[in-house]
Amino acid sequence: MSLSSLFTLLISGILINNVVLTKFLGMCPFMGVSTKLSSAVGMGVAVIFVIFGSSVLAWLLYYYVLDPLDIEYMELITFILLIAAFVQFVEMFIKKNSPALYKSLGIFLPLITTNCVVLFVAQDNITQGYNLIETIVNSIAVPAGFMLMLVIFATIRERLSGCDIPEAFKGNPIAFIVAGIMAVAFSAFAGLV
Amino acid sequence: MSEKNEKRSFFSEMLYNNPVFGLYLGICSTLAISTSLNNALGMGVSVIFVLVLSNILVSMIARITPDEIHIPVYIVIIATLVTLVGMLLQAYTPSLYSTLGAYVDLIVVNCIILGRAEAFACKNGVAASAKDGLMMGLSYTFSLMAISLIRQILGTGILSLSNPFTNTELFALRLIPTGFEIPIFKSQTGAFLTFAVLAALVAAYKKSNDDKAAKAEKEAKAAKAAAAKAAAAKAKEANA
Amino acid sequence: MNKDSTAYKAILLAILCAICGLLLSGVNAVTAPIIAKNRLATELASLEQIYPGADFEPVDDFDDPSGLIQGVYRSPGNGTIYKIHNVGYNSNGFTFMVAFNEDGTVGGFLPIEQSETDGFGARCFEPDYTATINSLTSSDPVPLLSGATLTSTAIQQGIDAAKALFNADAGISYDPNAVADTPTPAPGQKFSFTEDFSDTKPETEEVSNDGTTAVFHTKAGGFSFLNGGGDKNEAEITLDVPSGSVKSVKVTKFADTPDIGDKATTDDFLKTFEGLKDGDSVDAVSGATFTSRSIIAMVKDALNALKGGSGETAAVPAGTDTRFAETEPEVEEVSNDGTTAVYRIKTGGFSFLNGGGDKNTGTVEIDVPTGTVKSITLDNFSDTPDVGDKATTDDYLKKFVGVSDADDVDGVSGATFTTKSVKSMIQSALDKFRSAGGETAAAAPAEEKPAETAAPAEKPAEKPAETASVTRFKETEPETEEVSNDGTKAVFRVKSGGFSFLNEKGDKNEGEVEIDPKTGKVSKFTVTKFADTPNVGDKATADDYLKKFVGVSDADDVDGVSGATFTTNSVKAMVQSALDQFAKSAKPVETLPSTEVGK
Repeated sequence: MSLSSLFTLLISGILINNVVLTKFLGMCPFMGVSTKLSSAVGMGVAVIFVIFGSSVLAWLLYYYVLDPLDIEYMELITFILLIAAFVQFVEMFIKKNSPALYKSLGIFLPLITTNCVVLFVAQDNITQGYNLIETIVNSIAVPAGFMLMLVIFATIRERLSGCDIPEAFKGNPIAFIVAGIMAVAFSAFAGLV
Repeated sequence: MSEKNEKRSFFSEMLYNNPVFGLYLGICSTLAISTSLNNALGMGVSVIFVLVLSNILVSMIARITPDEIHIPVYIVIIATLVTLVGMLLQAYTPSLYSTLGAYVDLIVVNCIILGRAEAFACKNGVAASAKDGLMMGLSYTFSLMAISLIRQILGTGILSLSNPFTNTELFALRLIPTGFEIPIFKSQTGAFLTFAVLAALVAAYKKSNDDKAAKAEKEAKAAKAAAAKAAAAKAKEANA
Repeated sequence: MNKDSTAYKAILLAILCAICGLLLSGVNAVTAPIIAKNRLATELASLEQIYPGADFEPVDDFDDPSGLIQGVYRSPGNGTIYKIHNVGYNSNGFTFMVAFNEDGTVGGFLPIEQSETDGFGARCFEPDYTATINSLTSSDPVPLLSGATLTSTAIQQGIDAAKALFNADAGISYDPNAVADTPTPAPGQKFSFTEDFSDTKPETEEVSNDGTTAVFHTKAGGFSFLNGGGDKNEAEITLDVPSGSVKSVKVTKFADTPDIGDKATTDDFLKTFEGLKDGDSVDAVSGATFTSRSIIAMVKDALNALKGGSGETAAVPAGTDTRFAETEPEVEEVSNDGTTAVYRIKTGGFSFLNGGGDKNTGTVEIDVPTGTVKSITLDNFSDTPDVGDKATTDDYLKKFVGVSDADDVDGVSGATFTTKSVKSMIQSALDKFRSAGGETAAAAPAEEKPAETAAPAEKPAEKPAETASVTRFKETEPETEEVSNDGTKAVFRVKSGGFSFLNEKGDKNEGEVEIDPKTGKVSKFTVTKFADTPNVGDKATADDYLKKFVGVSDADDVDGVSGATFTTNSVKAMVQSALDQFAKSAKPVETLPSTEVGK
């Protein structure tokens, strides 16, 4: 767990194994939110915070509660409840402290609970056997990659809305084609570290 | 339009309410899994299992569940079912489990399941919920199979199926000669492109259907109006 | 109870969780053993390689702080097997199993999956190192493998983790901090001067040569150069001219990795070169192979450069010709009766190089007196029918008759690989023939084959003897023009390349040869332009030496001048080409010798 391996983890999470393009996670909000740049940025930051918080808590939960008690099979239930609770908590916090942000995020904040990325990162940290530091790095890197995708996509879609797209492809289908092209582009990062 | 709904064929129904291509739910696992027919069937059956049971269970306890905690309650139920499916898969179909990997657990956040629970199961009876779950599950499985067929045939040239319990191959047909397959369909890009095209096709079908229906309705209206006019004219004539 | 009260909600959730928890623990109890059995089944194949036919129980609970142990399998009556995953050089890491018998000795060391570099990390999984591991016990420190430091360190860490667990369970006390004795040295990496170091791209320039001592400034690529396009290492090499041996090696620039490669720049290592000659071999410094090799390459290059200046017409060692190296020729002499030397040769063509298929086999006969090819026949053709066999037709093979260098014949277009394979057979036979002592061509390492040969080098078919002389000095690219022939003397102006021309693309030497038309022998010989190295080559243009050629009818009747080989060659070439030109224009043929005296 040297500094260089942490750096690798960081780059890997953001670019090389980008969770949206290589693992197809986080597609639902991806399609729904990424039409405007401002909402994309807001969503991205919210997701980073949620994933970081919930994944670290999940890690602690696993290694200090589930593992010692030998009830690893409760992992899924406990993790998802933890995530739901955490999102609820964040929602309450934002509502109280920044009503404007709360309004702009709208329905998408509670929907972060069902964002595949959140659960995936929480579980992946356990599956890969990361220690706490690696978990922290991974839990920031992966949602950062997600946010990167969100922002790039938002800008592309803003441009797309002015283009002459065949009727059938308007909306989501063309967005998927864009995603496909981006997947090829990002696969170039494969040899980066 | 509701009369039109019932008249729609099974196939049309599948397309209109297709959770994947129509409502864009549960895309994550769809794209990741759809590399072979085996995976599609495996995932589809798992989702049907979870969906049907969760719909039944949710519809059963919906009445006694207070509104504020309904989300965690549903989540616990769904998560339990998913963990169960995961354990069963890992024990009895280890090869399928290792291919599906993390996506089995991610069924719990598959928007379809929570979505149906919220939208339908909590408001309807057990039998209706079960049927709804089955229909949604089947439609999801068919979508998954459609993508997988395309990706597997174009990407590897072979259409194959194996028995997941014993890992024996049931059949393998080479549909595209070696060297002519297009490997990009096996990769992520292929998934996105296939999905995009299929989604576009469904959208086009829906639109043409809607146009046809709208046209038919307009004509019916016009006919009705004409008939009314004719009747009125006749009546006037009769009265005159 | 009111549905909306908090208590109700709490109780409902609690009951729900309890039910789910119970259900899952029940299913878990049923499925967990099945899952364990499945996992075991996939491991079984590997486990059985260590303890064949034994029973295995997976141990689920083990305390491994290192995180390297992936699985523990106990085999009652035999021992315990640990499955370990670590990262060495390749970032994907590797997986292996190590077993400790019940008595503490190592029961097995089995790689499961690894993609380390061949020749480096991968050596850790080869018999030499695995035998070392297999000889250890659970309390011994694990030795590293030099030249595969990263990988063997990773293996050491993994085995240490397994040791910790095993010793704790078995109650064996040991010292976890013990260090193994000097790392097992790499199995003697010996390099011979006859090997091919062309990949190090050596460069040599003669700094000085006073006839006794020659100093060369050399460069050759080591680790830096070969692995990252970095700089080459540089050295100053002093050679003893008369003996052609190394006097000293001084590294002037070290471009490789400090603390690793510089083990090969120590005085101790450099001292091992003293007294070495061409054809000797050197033990590289283990752990600093690249740097060692670059130094050896530099010394070899210096020796070669010197050879060009030493009087010894050293035999051209087989294998220094790198033109066809990739065909990996195998040559064996079948017979040599003094007239014909027969060689059986295998060289790789298209099949071999592109798909690991078989090599082509052929038999080459060399005419001993002239040192040229007598015949070549293909015994086994392994390349592509209808494509490669254009280069194996009788018509094509006939072209090689009479050549002394494979590149004298053009290739066959459309059958490049097979052509190369055939040419390689020719050249290997020629090289082997020469190294066995029956050399013909000029000894100087003449890498340049002149594209066109000057007039005197044409081979009049009816004068086979001429072929011999013509090819002898071919690389000097002699140019001859008849100036006059008045019946009493035929005067030829001649040019031929010496050291300057051949090594630095400088000018040729020029001279004037007078031949007595009646006897066909040299009557006078002067050098009009000397283009080679003053104080070195001009020994061969001194009047005393040139006088020796008067009265000869063949250039090789006169001995060479030691210390001035290139110039001697050039001078002899002038004489010979004048003689040849004369012979061509005049009638007398019998004056030209038909035998070659081997030197």
